[in-house]
Amino acid sequence: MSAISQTAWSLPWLRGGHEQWLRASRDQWLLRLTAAFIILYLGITLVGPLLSMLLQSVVDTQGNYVGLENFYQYLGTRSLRQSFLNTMAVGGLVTGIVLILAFTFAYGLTRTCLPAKGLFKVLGMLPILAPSMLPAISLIYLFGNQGVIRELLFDNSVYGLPGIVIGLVFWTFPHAVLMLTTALGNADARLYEAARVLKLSPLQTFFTVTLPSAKYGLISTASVIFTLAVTDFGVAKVIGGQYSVLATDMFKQVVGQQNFTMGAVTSVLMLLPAIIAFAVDAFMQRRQVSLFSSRSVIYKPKPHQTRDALFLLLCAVIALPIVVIIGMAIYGSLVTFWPWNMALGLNSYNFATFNPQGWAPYLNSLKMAGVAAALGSLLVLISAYVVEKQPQGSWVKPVIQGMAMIPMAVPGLVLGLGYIFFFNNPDNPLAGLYGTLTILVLSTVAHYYTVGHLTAVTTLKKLPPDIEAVAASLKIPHHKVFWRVTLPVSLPALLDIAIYLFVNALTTTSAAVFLYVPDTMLASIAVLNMEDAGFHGPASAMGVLILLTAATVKLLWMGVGQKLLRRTQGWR
Amino acid sequence: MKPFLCLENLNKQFGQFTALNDISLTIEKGEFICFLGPSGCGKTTLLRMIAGLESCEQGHIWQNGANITHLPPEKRDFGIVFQSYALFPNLTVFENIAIGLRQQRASKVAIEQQVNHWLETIGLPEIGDKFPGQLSGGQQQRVALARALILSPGLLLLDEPLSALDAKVRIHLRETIRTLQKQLGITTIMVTHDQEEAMAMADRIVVMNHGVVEQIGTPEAIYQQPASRFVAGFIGAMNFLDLAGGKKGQPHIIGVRPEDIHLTASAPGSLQIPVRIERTEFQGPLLRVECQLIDCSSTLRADIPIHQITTANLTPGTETCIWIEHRRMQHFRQEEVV
Repeated sequence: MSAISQTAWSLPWLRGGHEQWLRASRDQWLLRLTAAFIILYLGITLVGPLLSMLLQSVVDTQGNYVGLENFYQYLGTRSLRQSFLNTMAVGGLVTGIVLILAFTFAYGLTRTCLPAKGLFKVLGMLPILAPSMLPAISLIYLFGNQGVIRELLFDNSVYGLPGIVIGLVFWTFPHAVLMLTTALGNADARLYEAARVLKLSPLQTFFTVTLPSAKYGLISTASVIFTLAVTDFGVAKVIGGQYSVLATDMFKQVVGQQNFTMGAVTSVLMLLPAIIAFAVDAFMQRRQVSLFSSRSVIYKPKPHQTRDALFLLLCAVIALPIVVIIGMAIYGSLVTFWPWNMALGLNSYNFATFNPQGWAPYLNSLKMAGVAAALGSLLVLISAYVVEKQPQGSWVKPVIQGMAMIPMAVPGLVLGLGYIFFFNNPDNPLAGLYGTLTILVLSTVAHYYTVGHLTAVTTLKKLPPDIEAVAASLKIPHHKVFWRVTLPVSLPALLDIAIYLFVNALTTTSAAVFLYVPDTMLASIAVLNMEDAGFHGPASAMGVLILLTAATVKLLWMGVGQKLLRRTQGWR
Repeated sequence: MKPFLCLENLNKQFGQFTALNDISLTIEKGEFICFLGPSGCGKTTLLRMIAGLESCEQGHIWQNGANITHLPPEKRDFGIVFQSYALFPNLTVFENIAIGLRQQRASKVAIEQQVNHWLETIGLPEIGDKFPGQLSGGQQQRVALARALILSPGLLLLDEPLSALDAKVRIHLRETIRTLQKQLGITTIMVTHDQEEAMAMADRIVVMNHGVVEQIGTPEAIYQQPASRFVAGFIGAMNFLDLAGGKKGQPHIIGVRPEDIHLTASAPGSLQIPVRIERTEFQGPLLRVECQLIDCSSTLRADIPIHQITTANLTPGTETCIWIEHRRMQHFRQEEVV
């Protein structure tokens, strides 16, 4: 009963108040139309494909409904069951190792007076700028059959679990460092003063003050790293060898055997752990109470010789492999023909020799990433604006917000497969998009929607809530306020979102691997294909190129972008 | 002559929650009205309905003879100031005030002249080039006031404009607002939860609680003849004495303000009550005395001007008598006491 009246209240036309609903002002109509557009957009680029994928998992090859039959068949196959267990093992190992390393690293950055903090910060972030295949290729150069330091493995093979785990630890490390630096950064100095007054030992202080305040950050980080590890495709594809995981299974089923139904079933199985991780995190976050209030005093570490020296050593030990892996990839890309012709040169960068598309994938990537960054960031900001400006009790707000959170739990491969089902359907009027760069833009924006949305919402919340009301009293239309005030004020966040989208669009393979055609091949896919064809040098070269491009964009943003902002954001 | 603003039987539901219950009210041109009540009483909702920021499903709103019930805010005639100042953070003070005129396509000279005039009026002639973030809270609120008034609206709405400010700034700014309002003769409605502020500023106060109007009247009338126990307790302080069976067996409650309790028989026909002193508290101009009635368990609070305390023994535990003038007593029916 109460549920019904709740709904009726939020849908005014059901309550007989439709006249009033229609009588809304132009501003309100504009807001409604924008909201309708956003819902439609997310429906097409996110919800539709996911539903098609879910639907595909419960029908047979003829399209008849078979319930959970496909899942029984899947779990009945021993090799497939094994990949599920393998994937969980990878996820667990990577999460455990990354948490320990990243916590130590982030602790060093936030709670000690470690020298060269800036350098460590940059090194810690580097892996995020590379496609996930790059560490795997580099590991092959280091520990593969012709690896330079393969003796360190004592006859063990790097192919399989060890390679996958090391590659993923490298690749997910920056995500964990970012999140844990934030979690450890907001410490309340008063708590540490209280601990000192109570004469707690440093170890006791760590367990009673530091760890509890970072608890929720740790849980979130674990959830994100686990999801990244169980859904990544690039590392396992390159260095997985015979060790099968869900992501490579799915690729084999879809691309190799054209068995879309089993691909969909694997998708669902991959979606499950990701959703569980996401749900656990969401549940824990709800119980979180902010320990850091406006009255808190930010903790600033004081120099302490032994501790600082210890953390310099620890952080150096953690950062060294990052330097080695990236350095090896760059070196490998410069060697003419490993291991027979070790002369250095740019031979590997002459891509036309190794694949028919030559440099085109790189240009495609730039174009795709540029468009995704420009359109995606604006779209994200507008949709966050629509959410924030909804009247109290509107159903639009939870709908858009719910949709915006979905991508967080959806692996790129799953989304990409959903796109095949949804857009490659002759009944879909948008089927023409299949095989274009546009569909790659759409899938990339959808895949990385959540982080942008959260950033945009946080920024908009900082604006005074009543400026639209004031504008209305001054007869200024809302869209004018948006262009004149909201957009300029949100510019830094907008650019942050754009950079985030750009870097991810450059490095991603997951959704694109199902959606590209030769004409729209991306640089990251070219890495995968050349590696697959045995061209390690060129694959490495393309990977390095992506890394350099992403790093250049980041640096430009930090230099030029900040200078530009200082001029336009003088009011801050 | 019809009243300037007329609210007829307004209702507002948020789901199961009744925010406003059958509100009717008329406001004359040039009046300064305060909506006063505890948080959640519906006063802000009512203000937002007058502005058109909340929809109105039941009842009517008339302004200046026109039915504005369903007009969107931009078609209404009002200026508004919020507690959060709501200044456009990336525009200078000058642009913040000028933006309304620019929308009206006023000439450059006229804008320059008008904005400078308003900067003078609010006493901040030098700050046109500054950004809101560089100003103090009080200064920002002055700018917001100028921005709300520059289009010469017929109605000024103030939503807790002083609540975010320091005590001293608050008193200063409330004088500014009141002077300006009288000068311009603009009809003004201010929402506040601060009874002292409402009494100092308003021509009439509308006391609200749980979505209904408890009482409408001048500050004096509301203080001296509170219509209900809620009003009596919310505006100023009041002691409630349960003198059951005191008169003809009819149970009723007597309300008396702390300053109306005397330690000596000041006037003929005062009620004399024996009490025991519990505690005293020095407050500067007066002494706050907590005492317990000897015949029953109620306690009451008396505020005694310090110069009247010369001989009386007020050590805790002392038994003495207090006097209350009959005409200073408020009578409330028993059922009003919850």
